[in-house]
Amino acid sequence: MSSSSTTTTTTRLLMLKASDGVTFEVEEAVATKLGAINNMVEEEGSEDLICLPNVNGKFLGMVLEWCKKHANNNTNSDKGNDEVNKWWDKEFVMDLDQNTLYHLLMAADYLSGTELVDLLTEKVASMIRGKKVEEIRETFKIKSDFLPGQEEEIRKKNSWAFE
Amino acid sequence: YTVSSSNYSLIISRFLLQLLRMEGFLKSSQCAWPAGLLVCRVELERFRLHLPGDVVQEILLRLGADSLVVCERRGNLWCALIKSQSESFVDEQLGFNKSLFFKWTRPLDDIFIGHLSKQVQSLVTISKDEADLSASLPLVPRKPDNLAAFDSHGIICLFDSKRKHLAVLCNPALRIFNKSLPLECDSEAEAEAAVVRKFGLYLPEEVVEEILVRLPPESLMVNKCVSKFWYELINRPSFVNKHLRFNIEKRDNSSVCLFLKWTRQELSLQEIFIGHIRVRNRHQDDLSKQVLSLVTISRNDAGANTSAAGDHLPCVIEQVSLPPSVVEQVSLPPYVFERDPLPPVHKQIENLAAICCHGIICLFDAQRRSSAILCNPALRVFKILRPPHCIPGFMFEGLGLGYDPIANVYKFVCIFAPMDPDAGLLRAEVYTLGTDSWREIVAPKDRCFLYSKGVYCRGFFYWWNVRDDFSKILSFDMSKEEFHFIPVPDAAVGGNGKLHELVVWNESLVIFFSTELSWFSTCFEMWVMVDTPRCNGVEASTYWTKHLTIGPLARIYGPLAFWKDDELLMESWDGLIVSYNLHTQKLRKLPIPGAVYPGLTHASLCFKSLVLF
Repeated sequence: MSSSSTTTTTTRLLMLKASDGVTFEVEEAVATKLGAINNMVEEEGSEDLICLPNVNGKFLGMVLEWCKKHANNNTNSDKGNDEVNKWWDKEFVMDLDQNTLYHLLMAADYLSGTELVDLLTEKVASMIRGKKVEEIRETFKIKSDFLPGQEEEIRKKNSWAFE
Repeated sequence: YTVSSSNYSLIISRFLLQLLRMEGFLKSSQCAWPAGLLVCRVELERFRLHLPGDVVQEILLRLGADSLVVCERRGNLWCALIKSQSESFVDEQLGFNKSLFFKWTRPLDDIFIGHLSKQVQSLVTISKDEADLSASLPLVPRKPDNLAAFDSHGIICLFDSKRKHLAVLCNPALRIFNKSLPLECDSEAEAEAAVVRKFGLYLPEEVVEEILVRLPPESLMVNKCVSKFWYELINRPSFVNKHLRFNIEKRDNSSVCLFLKWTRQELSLQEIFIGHIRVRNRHQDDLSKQVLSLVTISRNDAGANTSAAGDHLPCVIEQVSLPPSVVEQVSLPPYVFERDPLPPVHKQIENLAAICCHGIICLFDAQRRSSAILCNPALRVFKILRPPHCIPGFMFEGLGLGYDPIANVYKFVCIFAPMDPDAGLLRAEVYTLGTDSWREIVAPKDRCFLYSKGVYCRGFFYWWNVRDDFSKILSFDMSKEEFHFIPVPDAAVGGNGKLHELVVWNESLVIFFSTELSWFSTCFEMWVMVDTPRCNGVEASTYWTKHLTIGPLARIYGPLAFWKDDELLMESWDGLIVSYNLHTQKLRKLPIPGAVYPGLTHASLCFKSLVLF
């Protein structure tokens, strides 16, 4: 959001405090990539310390790492940057274990980091695509709560999809 | 606030919800609530607002003890809420930011609220019908200092670090409420793992939605079986819309789906040389020669840039077959042309014309003598739509299908023309999908003869009017249900052997017309319709801009549809379907099995949607 004219002066630093007390010092331009922080900055104005009681330090750190990368790459208006970003995003989600992915997604959602949520939900979707029901339940630790017979009925209605 | 009208409840609950959504805001600062809110408590009494439980809790937390006495009389829910948490209310009026606050909105409208603080160790669950109120749960550990409350994968846990005791309280997603679940664990991490094993993961509803909109319909049909929540979510109309919008807007998607209706060409050498109209009729009237396919083309194909793989367009072609029961129902009794030297064909449906909107395909007899078939190929759903009874002395003239973005419904429109070309005006009827009835609307004023290939584009349906040398296009506004004639650029006018085609490009209407038409060399002009909405007192206007000229191309019959901004499908005189790149001007073949009869093909972008009818 910040145009080049406002960033010529020293950039404002924000302190973000995670649920476990870990604090991060980040440039405003980086932190405001997160919708929730952007709102707080706009509303509270002068306050530089922002408490985020729902996000653990480890994941907040990862989210901010992502923000930094994207904020930096956005300032250079190179055409190749889009490709670089895409490649970087791919790397970012590639080796995430499920637990981390889950917590990151929760953190990104809580902080309204729309682009990051996009990236992470796409990753989760890729884990669902083409999978069997049992596999999905196993992956996401979901218990079937259908009554006996209900599931069979749904399967029967769209039996072609299960072939 | 104007504390008077009945929509007051709406305003306040919306306002509150909006505030609540900004959770960070609520938690990190002691926000001052509008003074009006306290005045409102009496109003709340009077109007019996139906506020969600969590809103109620938020309001109550901010009220003084004296006001709470009033509120206790509000109803069972409020009473129980206040009683069970009176400790917190009395001790910590407005001190909510000191405590740990968990709040979830559960799927299926039920609300779970847990209010945990070092002073208060009680937990209340509220269900939407206010009668069902579970007991408040006293927590196991008593020593506040040892108690750690954490949220593990959506499950609220209390973990007593001294006694290494875990009490699981609730999984709002699965609606499991345990009074306590003693588990021996050494660390919080271990406790977390134990909880996941037992209860699974929890993601907020909107995140689950975000994930599921990315999946294709066939995957979603399978995923309905995962759990009740997923089943209910996928079936929601709001999800269907979201899924569709995601597919339309995310233009960088890896692949694109096209619906293709083509007519298999089976000609003897002799017939090729005769080229008689009867041969064409024989093809278009024979259902067994009509092929319906779904073509999935990869968007970021490398072939566009390399010359080696450039001959064929990499794609997957699936055949769509109409269920026999559907074909039977719409079939006409076979009849034989009198004095026809060609062998009689078993005719079931005459020349099948197709229109397509948001993944719904409508197939109908171009002579409109039988019922229309609706189908969503992604869901393999078929339905027969009875056309309105033909008004005596009238015949079908045009059929359109489109989406009304204002009412959020799909509509059919049917135009009738009097049999006697000199007599009377047109008539028109509209059918809203899901209502099962036709109603008459105001028809276009001028007589027209419509081209059966119409297109839907952004709330409008368009047909080219063949009358008066193709000088006008008829549009139908799906929301207002009004017809308008749009004049075309002068260069497009002219009926003599000229080819005219309506196509959608970048969500805009585009016309193609040939400027040079011969067996071996054809040029097409492409014009884009520009709509300027009314602004600053200047009336809305519609005009055309010429985009480019394609060609001359050899042996190309005409354009069919865009599948990408710069890739246009066309059919050739040789029975091929090719994709033409506007920039590189390169042609690539679509590997369809068989030869296409030119001029009888329909192609349109077909989003794989969950839209049902």
